[in-house]
Amino acid sequence: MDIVDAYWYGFQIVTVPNNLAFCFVGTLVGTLVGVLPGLGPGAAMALLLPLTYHLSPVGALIMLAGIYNGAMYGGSTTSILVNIPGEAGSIMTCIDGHQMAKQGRAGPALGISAFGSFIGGSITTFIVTLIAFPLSRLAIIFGPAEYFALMCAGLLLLCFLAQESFARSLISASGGLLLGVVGMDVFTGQSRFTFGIPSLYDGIDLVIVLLGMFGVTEILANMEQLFVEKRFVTQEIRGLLPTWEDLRRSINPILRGSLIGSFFGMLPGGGTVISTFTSYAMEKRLSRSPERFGHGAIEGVAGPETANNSSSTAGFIPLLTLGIPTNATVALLMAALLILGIQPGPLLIRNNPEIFWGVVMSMYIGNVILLILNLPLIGIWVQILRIPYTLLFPVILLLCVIGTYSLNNRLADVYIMLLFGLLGYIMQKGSFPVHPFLMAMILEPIVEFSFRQSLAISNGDIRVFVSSTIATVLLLFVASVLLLSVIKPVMRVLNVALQKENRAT
Amino acid sequence: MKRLDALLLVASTLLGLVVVYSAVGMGLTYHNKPGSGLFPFLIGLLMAMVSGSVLVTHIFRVGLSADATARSDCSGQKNRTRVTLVYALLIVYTLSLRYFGFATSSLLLMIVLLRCVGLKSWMYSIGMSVCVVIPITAVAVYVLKIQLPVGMFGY
Repeated sequence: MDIVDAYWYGFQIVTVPNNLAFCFVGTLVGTLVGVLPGLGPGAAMALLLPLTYHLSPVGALIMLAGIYNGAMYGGSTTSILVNIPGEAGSIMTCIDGHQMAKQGRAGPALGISAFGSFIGGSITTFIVTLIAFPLSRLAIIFGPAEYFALMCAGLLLLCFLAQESFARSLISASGGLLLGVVGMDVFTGQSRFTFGIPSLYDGIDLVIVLLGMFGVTEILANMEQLFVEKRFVTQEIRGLLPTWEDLRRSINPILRGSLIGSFFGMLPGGGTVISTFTSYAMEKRLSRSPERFGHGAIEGVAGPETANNSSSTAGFIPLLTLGIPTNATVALLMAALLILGIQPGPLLIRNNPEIFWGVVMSMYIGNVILLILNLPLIGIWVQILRIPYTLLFPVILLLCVIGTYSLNNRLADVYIMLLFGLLGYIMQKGSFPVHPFLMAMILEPIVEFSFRQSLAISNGDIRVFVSSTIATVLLLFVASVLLLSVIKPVMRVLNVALQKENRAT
Repeated sequence: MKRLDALLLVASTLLGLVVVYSAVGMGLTYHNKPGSGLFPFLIGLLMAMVSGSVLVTHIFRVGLSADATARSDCSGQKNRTRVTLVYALLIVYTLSLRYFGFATSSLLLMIVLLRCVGLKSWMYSIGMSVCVVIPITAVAVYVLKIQLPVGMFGY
């Protein structure tokens, strides 16, 4: 299938009325979620995950991808109008977007953000299709040893690029891997860490953990800022279409933002935050009048917003071609695929082309829907922004309970969800990032399977992991980073002890 | 050193060691092939080593200021009380689901949350709770066909 045929095939799938409806609903719900501060795309996807069990795999994935992309766009509305980022990727938009709104230019800020998101999303979708083919062909030659090395390197990179310290991210990821181990061992049938509890023999349900750590944890964390006053821009929003001068200033930041977002979006842990920060910094550096930044420069909105949407779209490349999620929200998509019985990775294009091309084309359609939907509906989004969180969080809680209970009709699952909600909150308070924990838990079966399969093939000979150049290079990288993470703190202790001794003498 | 930080690091170090011990009991090898305990053994070892090294660093009071992520958790005692209250209410709520069912328990939870946490009036709390819980329950039960916990009242 050449690329034109593949596009046409994907277009046919996504334009089936049901799939089109899922795409529309996903984009709408995503924007709604992005607009509401305190309810991130991860929480929304975790809440809707149990519902997707009743949908076709293509429909479910199209809807979840729509939520993800919609939330990325919706977050900018909150950033511009209220100066509160709807999700982490919109932090940079607050700086100049809100300043523009205060100067009575909320319309052009929202408009350029929509155009930037559309152009960035479309360019990156095109890049996805160009890269996906060769990458998946390359990945097919990967054996279990290479796959194990790749997964380890991906997880490690995620920890390395996390906003919290590397060591804490690593501890968090090992906690997730341990949680994934709980249950019956598929190789030997031996139960591991089940403590004789029958419901743990199948392992801990991923959706329960996701609902606890995204839903309940976010609610508990938001309780601390429950009564922070929202400062709305009160002027009427008009003139959503940017002027020619605005477009002239924005076109280069949009193009650069697309490339920055595409690059960082593909890296595990790169995500939207790094890409938006990089885009903002680059625009400021390249600007002939950097002093305008922070005071309502439209380039400061166009670049980061484009990078934000590009990055979220680019996150699909490693997921669909290599089976590696780049951030926790993409990991949720991976979880959805696994729950629906589909293995993401190099064989996805060959075995399930309808999913791959359907989801890719739904991103194009989703971007068009976002553009059509967001500009005329801006008034409604502003009204939704005024819903107080005190009313919103009990509803989220009830949805978490319904979602959890509906999995197995067991109250014990609700208790477990609450427990994970508390664990997530404690981890946040202790600066242990939750995302590596969740990603490691999702990836654990694949990591362990490829690890043990490699050893089983080689009759327990660990040299299997250095039998190929790819695996050797990747594992060398993993080993050196791990070694460094252990040595560095010890060296710091010795250094300070030496300094103290020197001072004493 | 923050107390919570120290506790979490001690807990993760101990957890890592316990996992290593249990994994050895599961068997690291099985007929010349990797046993059930090998993977947990490696993960436990990694967890114990990294947590231990971070703990040691902190014990020596080195890098406390350098650790950019160590946020102060002294602020907002009042906010933490609110978090504790919400969590306690959630525990009571989940325990009550078995006896009062989803609809009644959720209605009570929402009234209490709106009144005690949201600081809304009784009338607003009751009215809003009825307006939210009944449609959610109806959609879940009749549209999505989800079986929700049924208590002594039968709903």
